[in-house]
Amino acid sequence: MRHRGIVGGVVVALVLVCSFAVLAQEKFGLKDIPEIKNKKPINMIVETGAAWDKVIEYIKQFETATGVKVNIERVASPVVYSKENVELMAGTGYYDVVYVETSWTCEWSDYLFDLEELAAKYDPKGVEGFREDIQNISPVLLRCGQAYGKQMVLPFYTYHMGMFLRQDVYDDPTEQAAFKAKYGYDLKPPTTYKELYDQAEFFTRKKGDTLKGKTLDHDLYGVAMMAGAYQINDEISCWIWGMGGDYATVVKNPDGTIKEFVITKKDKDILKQALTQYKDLLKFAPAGCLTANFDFACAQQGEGFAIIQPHQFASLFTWTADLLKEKVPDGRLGIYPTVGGQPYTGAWSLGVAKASKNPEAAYWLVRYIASYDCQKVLMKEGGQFSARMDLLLDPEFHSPETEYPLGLVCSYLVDIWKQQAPYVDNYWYFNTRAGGKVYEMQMNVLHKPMAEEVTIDECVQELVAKTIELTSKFDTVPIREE
Amino acid sequence: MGTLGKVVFWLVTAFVLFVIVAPLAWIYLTAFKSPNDIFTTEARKLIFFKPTMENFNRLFREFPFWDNFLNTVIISVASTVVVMVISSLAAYSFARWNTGKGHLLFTTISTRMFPGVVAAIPFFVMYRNLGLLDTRFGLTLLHIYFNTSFATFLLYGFFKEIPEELEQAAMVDGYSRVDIFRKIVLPLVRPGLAVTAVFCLVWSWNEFLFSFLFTRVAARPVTVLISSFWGSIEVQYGPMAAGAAIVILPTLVAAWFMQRYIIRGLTFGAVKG
Amino acid sequence: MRTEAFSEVQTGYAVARKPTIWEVLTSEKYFKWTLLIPLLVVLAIFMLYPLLYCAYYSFHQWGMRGEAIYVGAQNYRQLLNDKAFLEALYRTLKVLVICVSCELLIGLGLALLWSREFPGENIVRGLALLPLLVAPLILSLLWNFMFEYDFGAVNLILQALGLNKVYWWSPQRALYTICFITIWQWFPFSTFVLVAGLRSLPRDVFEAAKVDGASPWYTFRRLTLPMLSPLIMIIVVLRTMWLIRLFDPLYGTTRGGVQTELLDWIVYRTAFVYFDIGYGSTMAIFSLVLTIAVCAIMFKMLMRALGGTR
Repeated sequence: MRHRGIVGGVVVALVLVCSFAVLAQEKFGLKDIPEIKNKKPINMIVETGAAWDKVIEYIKQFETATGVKVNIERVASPVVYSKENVELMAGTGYYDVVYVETSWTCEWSDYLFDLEELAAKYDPKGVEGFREDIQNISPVLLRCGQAYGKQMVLPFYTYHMGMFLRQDVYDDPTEQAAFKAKYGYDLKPPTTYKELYDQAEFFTRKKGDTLKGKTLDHDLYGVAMMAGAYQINDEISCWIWGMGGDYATVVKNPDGTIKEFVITKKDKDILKQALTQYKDLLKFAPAGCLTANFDFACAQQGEGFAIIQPHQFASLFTWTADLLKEKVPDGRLGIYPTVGGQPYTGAWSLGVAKASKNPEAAYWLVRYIASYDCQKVLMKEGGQFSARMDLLLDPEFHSPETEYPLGLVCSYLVDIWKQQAPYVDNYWYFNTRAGGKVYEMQMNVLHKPMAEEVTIDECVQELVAKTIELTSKFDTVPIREE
Repeated sequence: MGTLGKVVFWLVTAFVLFVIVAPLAWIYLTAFKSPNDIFTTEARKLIFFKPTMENFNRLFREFPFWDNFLNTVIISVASTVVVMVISSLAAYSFARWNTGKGHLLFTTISTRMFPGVVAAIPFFVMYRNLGLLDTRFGLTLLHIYFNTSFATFLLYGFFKEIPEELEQAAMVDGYSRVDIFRKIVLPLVRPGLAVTAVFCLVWSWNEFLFSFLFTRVAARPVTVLISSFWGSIEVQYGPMAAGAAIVILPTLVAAWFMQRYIIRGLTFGAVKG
Repeated sequence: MRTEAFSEVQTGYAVARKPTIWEVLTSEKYFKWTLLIPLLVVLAIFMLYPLLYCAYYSFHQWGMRGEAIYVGAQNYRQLLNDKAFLEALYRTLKVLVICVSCELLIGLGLALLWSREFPGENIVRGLALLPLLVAPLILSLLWNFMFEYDFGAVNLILQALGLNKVYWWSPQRALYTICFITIWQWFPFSTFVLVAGLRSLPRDVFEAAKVDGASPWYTFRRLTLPMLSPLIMIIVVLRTMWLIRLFDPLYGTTRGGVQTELLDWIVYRTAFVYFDIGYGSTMAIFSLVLTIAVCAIMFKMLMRALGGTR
C-alpha cells in the first residue's frame, strides 16, 4: 500500500514536471527567427488552390518581420514538376524555395540542401533546435521527405489516402439487416477485398430501388474511383502495398545503403492481382470514373451517387463532407484505413535549392511555413491537413463542433501514421532517383487496361519494362527483373 | 434568293451560331457564378442563378491580372508587327519570283513541323545563357519565330492572286520595284494582310506552352495566369472564367475589325481585267 | 521615281557614278533576295539551332543530367518497335483525315453561304470567329467540363430534351470527341480564308458566265473552285501540318488517356516529363521527317494547281 502511494506520488510528480516542461517549451514561431543577414529577395514556386491562397497572406508577415522579399510564382498543379525540373536541370538557380512532392525527393536530392546543414549554419539553436521542432511532424512524412538518410524537405500538407464511406448508411439498421441477410456477415467498413467487393455490389442500385428505406431518384453506385490517367497509380499503390508488394523490392546492404532493386515474381503477381481486382471493382463505379480525377470521384460521393471511395486523399475529406451535407442533409462520411492498411502516402513539401543565392532566408521561410502557426492557418482557413501531429491532436479540432469532419480526419491520420511507420522506409518510391519519372509513367500505363487498351498481362509487362528502362536511365542503383 | 432559300440560310446560320456561341456563353455565365452553382446537376442553373462579382474581385485582388494582361498586349502587338513586316516582304518575293524554286518556301513552313516541346529545351538553354528568360523581349522573339512561317505562307496565297499584268503595266510606266510593291500590290492585298495580322495577333495572345516555360513572374502573359487556376483540389472555374471573359474581349474587337475590312477591301481593291 | 542611272547599270553601259547599296538591293536582279533577308535571319537563328541540337542528341542517351552517352542508331531502332509510339502515330493520322475533311467541307459551305452581303453579316461573321479567339488551353478545360457525364452542360441539355446521357469520354468515343473539339475551334479558319478568297475573285468573269446562262453548279465547279484551289490547298497543307502537332485539346481533358494519346503528347511526355532528351529528340526528328514527307507531297500538288490557274 505504502509502495503504491509512493509510486503514485512519483508518477504524478513526473507528469506535472513534464507538463510544465511541455508548456514551457514554446513552439517555434515567427518571433524565433533571428536577424537574417542576407536580404536578397527569394523566389518560390507553388501550386494554386485555397491552401496557398491563405498561407501566402502569412508569408507577408514573414516579409515584414525579416525584411526579405518573397516572390511567389503560382502554376497549375499538374505542371509544377515540369516547370521546376526545367529550371533545376538547366541550372538557372532561379528558385530558392522548391515545392516538392515527396516521391521526387530522391530525384532532386542533388539540387537540394540537407536541411540539417542549413540548421547548423544559420540556426542559433543549431541542429538540436531543428530536430526538436520537427519531432512533432509525422515520422512517416518526414521519412518520405528524406533522401539517403538526409532530411531534404519539410511537409507543407499531406495527401495521405484513406477510405471514405457513408457512415450514415453503414449505421442504418435497415441496410445492416439487408446486408447480413444477403452476405451472412455484419456490415462494417471493409478490411479485405472480398468485403469491399460485396459491399460495392450491395450498394450498386438502380433508380427506384431504396436506400435506408427511402426510394432512390437516381442510380446509385457502390464505389467511386479515380481510374483516369491522373491518379490511378496512387490507388493501385494502396493495393499493392497492402498486399505486401511494391513496384520494385528494395534490397539493402548490411550497412543500410541500397544494394539493388529487384522486381520479384511476387511483386509482379501482386501487381497483376491488384489490377484485376481494381478492374473488377470498376463495374460498380459510375461510367465517368474512367477519366476521373479526384474532383469527379469526390463529387460523386458528395452528391450522394456513390457510397464508398475505397481510396481518396484525406485532404479532400472536408470538401466532400461539406458537399454531402448540402446535397444529402442526413449524410455523414467516415474515414478508415484502405484495404490492406497501407494507403498511398506523401506530402507536398518545401526544400531549399543548392543554387539559391539566399539559402539563409529560404531556410527560415521553410521552417516558418512548417511551423505550428502557419500550419494552423493552413488547417483552419486553407482546409488542408497538416503533417504536424501536435496540431492534429490539438483540442481545438476535437471539440463537438469541429470533430466532424476535421477531428475525424486528424485522428485517422495520427493512427494510420503509427500503423504504417514500420513500412515506409522500404517503399520503393522513396528510395530511388527515378521516383518522379516512374510515377508519371505509371499514370499513363496503369490506366490503359482500365480503358481496355491493353490486357492486364500486357500492362504488367509494359510497366516492368518501362520501370527498368527509366530507373536504368535515371538512377545509379541497378535494377533487375526476377 | 427565293423564300425557301432564305429560310434555309437563316436556319443554318442560326444553328452554326448557336453551336459556336453557346460554349463561350458558358464562360461569361460562369464568370458570375458562385462555386455551388458551377458544380450542380440542375439544368436550369445553367442560365438562372444568382450572380456574384466575387470571381472578378478575387482575380484582381489576389493575382497580378493587369500586369500580366499588359505583358500579353505588349508581346502580341510587338510580335505581330514584326512578323507582318518580315512575312509580307518574303511572301511577295516567293509569290512574284518563286525565289528558291519553292524549296525555300517549303523550308519556311517546315519550321512548324517540329514538335514545339522538343524545341523548347534547346531554346531554354540558349535563353538561359543569354539572360533572356522571363523577359518580354525573349518571349516576343519566340512568338515572332512561330508566326512567321504561317504568315509567310498565307500571305503567299494572297499575293499570288494579284495578276502579273498589273505590275508589268506599272513597270512599263516606269515604276520601280519598291514602288510597285508599296503603291500597287500592298493596297490590293489589304484583306489578306488584315486576316493574317489578326490570326498572328490572336495566336500570340493565346499562346501557352512557351509562355509558360519561358516566363516566371515578370514577363508572364495572362494566358498562363488563367490556366494556373487548375489547382490541386479543384479547378477554380470561377476566376478562370472571369479571366477568360476579359481576355477574349480585345481579340473579339480585333476580329470584328478584320472581318469588316474584308468588305471594305472589296470596294477598294476591285480587280479589273 | 525616275531610275535612269539604275537602268544603265542593268544594261552594262558605262555610268557616271557607282550605284548605291539601296539601288543594288532594289535592282531587278537582287530585289527578290533582299525581300527575303529578314526571313532568312529568323530562320537561321531559330530553326537551325534546335534542329541541329535535336539531331545531335537523337544519337545519344541523355537525361539532361550528367554526360550524354553515344548510342548510335539505337534510339531509332527502339522507336520503330515502340508500340505506344506507333499507335499514337496511327491515331494522329486518323484525327488528321477526319478533321481536315470536315473543316474544309464546313468551311467551304459556310464561305459560299456567307460571302454575299446579307443583313447582320458583320455580327454573324464576327461571332463565327469566336472559337479561334479563345486560348486553346481554356477551351480544353471548358470542353472537359461541358462533356462531363454528370455535371456537363451537354448532357444536362440532352437530359432536358428527354434524351439519354452520352458517355463522351469513353475509350471508343473519346478520340472523336477530341476531333469535335478541334473542328469546333478551327472551322472558322477555313471559312474566313475562303470568304476572303471569294471576295477577291474578279466579278466580271462571273458576270460573263451569268450572261452566258451558266448554271450555279457549273459556275461553282468550273470557275469558283479552280480559282479557289490555291487557297484550298494552302488550308489543307497548313491544317495538316498543325493537326499532326495536335496537343492542346488533350491538355485539359484526357491527357493522353482513354486511347487518345497522340503524337505530340507522347513526345511531350518523353521530353518534358521524363526529360529523356535523347529519345525525345529521336521522336522529334522522326516526326519532322514524317510531316515533311506528307506536306511535300501536298505542296507539289499545290504548286501544280497554282501553275495551272495563271
